[in-house]
Amino acid sequence: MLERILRSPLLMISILIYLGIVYVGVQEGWSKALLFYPFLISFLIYFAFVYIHNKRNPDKRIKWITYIPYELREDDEGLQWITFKATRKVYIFYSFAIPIGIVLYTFFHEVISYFTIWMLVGFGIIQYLIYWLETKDILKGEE
Amino acid sequence: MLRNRVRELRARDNYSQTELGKLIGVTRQTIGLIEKGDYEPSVKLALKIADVFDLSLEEIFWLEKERKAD
Repeated sequence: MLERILRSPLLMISILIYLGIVYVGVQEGWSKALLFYPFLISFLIYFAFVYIHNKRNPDKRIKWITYIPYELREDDEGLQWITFKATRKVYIFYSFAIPIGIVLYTFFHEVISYFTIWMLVGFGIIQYLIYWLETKDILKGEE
Repeated sequence: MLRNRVRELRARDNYSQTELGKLIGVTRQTIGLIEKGDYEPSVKLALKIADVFDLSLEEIFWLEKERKAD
């Protein structure tokens, strides 16, 4: 269960939304403590989960620090295949989203406050949703 | 399309997906993908599966059109 939480794209979606709110908060002059403490608490909970998971599953350890996103599964050729299919769909999404995003920015950046940051958060959310929808049935019930 | 008898043979030998996966060094999910035909294993992995069931490759995997020709 812990591994599913740690590897969940939904966790990354939450982080993206939080970072978007932090950006807006900093720009708007919100209290720094209000923005910082949720980050600190989430950070501590996250690494506590990693610690507990690694203690319980020494053969399936999650690295503390890695440049490979946790949700990518590359344990064997079957999971690499699933990861390939999911990341291919994400690539196709970005090949459309980036030019469309530039067009949207052209027309809306002066109309909608913080349009750029919300657009980036939106792209990130869609990216993780595409990945999650592609892999959820395969990884369902894992532990 | 590549077809296979992995599910049938696994039931015959009373292996769970996890047990078969451990024998050939892959995850339960990969065994599930192969059984459903969603993933076509590499030659190396197919040979390992054949070795576990003590059968030849052709007795476990076949191309669909070849089967129809039979």
